[in-house]
Amino acid sequence: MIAIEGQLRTASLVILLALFCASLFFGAGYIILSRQFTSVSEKKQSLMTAIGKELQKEGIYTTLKDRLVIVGHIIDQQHSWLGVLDLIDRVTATGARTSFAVNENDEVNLSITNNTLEDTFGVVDRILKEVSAKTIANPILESVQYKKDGTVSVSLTIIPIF
Amino acid sequence: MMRYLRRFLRIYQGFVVSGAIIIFGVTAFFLAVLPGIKATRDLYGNLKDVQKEVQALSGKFAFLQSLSEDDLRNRLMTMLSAVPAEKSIPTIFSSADGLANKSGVSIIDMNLMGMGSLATGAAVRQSAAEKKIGAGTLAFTMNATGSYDQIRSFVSEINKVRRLFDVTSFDLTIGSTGATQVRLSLAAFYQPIPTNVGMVQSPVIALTTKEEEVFMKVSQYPDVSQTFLEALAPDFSGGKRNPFAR
Repeated sequence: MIAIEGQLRTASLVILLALFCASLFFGAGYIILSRQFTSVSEKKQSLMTAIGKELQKEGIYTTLKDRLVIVGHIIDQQHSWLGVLDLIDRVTATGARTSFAVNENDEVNLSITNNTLEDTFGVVDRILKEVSAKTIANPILESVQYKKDGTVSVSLTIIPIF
Repeated sequence: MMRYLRRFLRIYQGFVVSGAIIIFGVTAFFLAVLPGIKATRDLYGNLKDVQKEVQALSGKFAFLQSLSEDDLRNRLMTMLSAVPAEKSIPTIFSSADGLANKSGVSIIDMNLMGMGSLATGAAVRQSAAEKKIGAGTLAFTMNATGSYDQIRSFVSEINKVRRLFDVTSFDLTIGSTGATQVRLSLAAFYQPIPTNVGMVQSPVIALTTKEEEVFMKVSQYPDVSQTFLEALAPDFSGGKRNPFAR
């Protein structure tokens, strides 16, 4: 009975001591962390105020960046039409160009009038060379019209590779 | 009753005191120490979060301080001449006219379609293509005439002027005398200036290499519009996060 009482007393003292130590440890930790938190929060507040004073600069910068992204997209979308014009010049080297049209799908519809049939074959040869050079895709001969005066009108559709 | 209680306490005094201490200790652990540990742990977590925010804010502040407001303003003006905040129809006409003068072609007519609001058109729902670009578009057509070389110069330069245009389609007819006529379908771009810059805590990301390249490219394009944009007058008033409020 006395032994059990002694063990119980020891256990109660150990619990009391552990409780005291835990309270001391976490209490001190809480106070230290709380002070740090206050200090960091004050620093955060002062930084927010300082950034608020740079609002105009931030606004201009953000707008500039947004606009650069937009302009980047526009430039990516633009095509170099000079390249297409050069391509058409190469294809119709000896032919008398009459007209050509580029549609929204970047397909070029080309109408050429040649004085002879040989010139027309030359146009076809040059188109095939451009296809081999991978500057033209999917050339389609829409129509060939041989007229009484010996001229040949050709209508072609090509897709330039930019 | 009291006599029995006193007798019990006298016999089991050691047990009662130790038991009371243990019960107190266990109760105190659950009611005080455990919530204290949780509060300390939460505070530690909050402290780490605030420290991260302070680090981000310090970086943002240092970055903003490293920027020159005048330089930013000039850069933005350059970009606004490429994609104005409003539809800016006069700059479309003057850019086309300036380019025509430069190339030597004559503009026969210009037709702006679906202009809608003459201001920003901010309330208009954007099409899928506009959403992809991130800006509103204003479609227009133009008929011009000149020699083949002049038209060639005009078409090749139209993508390289400060007010940005995109040629959506064109058709070109060469007459028997060599006089060439071109009909162009074009799009001009505009995008309203944002009315707020987000939260103070929002990060500011430095310009990427591509964005710097875009700026260099656009700044080298000639401004043939001969117009002046209204100077930006950002106004910071009483904490309102709108630097462009008027």
